[in-house]
Amino acid sequence: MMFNDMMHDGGGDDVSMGSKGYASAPEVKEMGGSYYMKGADGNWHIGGEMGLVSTSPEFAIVFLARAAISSCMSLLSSPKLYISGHALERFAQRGFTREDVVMIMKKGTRIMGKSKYGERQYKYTYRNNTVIQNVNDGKIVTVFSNAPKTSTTPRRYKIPF
Amino acid sequence: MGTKNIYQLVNEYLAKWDPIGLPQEIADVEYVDYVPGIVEALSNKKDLCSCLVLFLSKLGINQDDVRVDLSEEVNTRADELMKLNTMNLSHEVYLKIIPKNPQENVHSWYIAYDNESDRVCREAGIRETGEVITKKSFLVYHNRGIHSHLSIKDFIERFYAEIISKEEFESVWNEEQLV
Repeated sequence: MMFNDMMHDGGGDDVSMGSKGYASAPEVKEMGGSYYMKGADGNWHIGGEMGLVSTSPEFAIVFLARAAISSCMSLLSSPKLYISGHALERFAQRGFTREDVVMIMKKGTRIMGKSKYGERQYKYTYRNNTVIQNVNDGKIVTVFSNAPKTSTTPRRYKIPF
Repeated sequence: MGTKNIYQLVNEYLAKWDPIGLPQEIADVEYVDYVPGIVEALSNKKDLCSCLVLFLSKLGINQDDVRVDLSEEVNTRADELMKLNTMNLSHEVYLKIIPKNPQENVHSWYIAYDNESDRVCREAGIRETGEVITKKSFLVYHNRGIHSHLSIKDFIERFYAEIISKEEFESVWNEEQLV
């Protein structure tokens, strides 16, 4: 059975999937989960499907649960930063945010180094901004930039990406 | 009277020690926050050692992660720091502040602080382009500048002031003020 036939059988107006030819804002009606627009030819043409509407408390619970799970998943997937007290102060002083640090660590070049006491450190550098991270515990140790003397950015402060 | 003050010497010491292992020009200002606390503790070795242990722990350096004996290291460092206090020192401390919210076009403040009378004695503000646009001297007690109510600790902890040399301060102070 064709779509037109179904609509006719259902006792509705004449509906076809053919050319629409709207001259002005079309008349719209809803039927069986879809919406229809009246064309210039006087026939009803299918316009699309209606969105899901919650009709019982179960729907609301499912939607809320889905929203909660997705926000939990986004929290879990965002990278965790362990930051030393010293580094937090340097963030504030030099204008770095957590997002900046994540960006530098994601996009920057990484080289391995050592502290004075032999602790292994990762040094990430992106656009002259540097993040130093302790390898053992993953803690950010400090952040700084190498803004040249000619730059308008004060030395050691974040150079805008 | 020497040309260096105790704040400058302690800062230089920490920069040379540089436990994180940074490029020198970064190390020169990296540890300024800890200077006032260390200066306060200089007269008592026990206090100084506690201060240094806290300093290392804030940097994320703990005994579990390093091979050297940190308590021995702290003890040696405390002795060396205490020796600085016996040197011939100037009581003027020179600071540089880059304000987060610059006012009156002042990009950086240069401040001379008298550690003995505990007050700001001179201040100069420069533009981003380097011209001196304000310069004030507060040699008389009742003459107060915009920074008069602040202590060295305030400058360092609240405004992230850097400790600079007398020469750096004087080079700004001796420049002509833009009218």
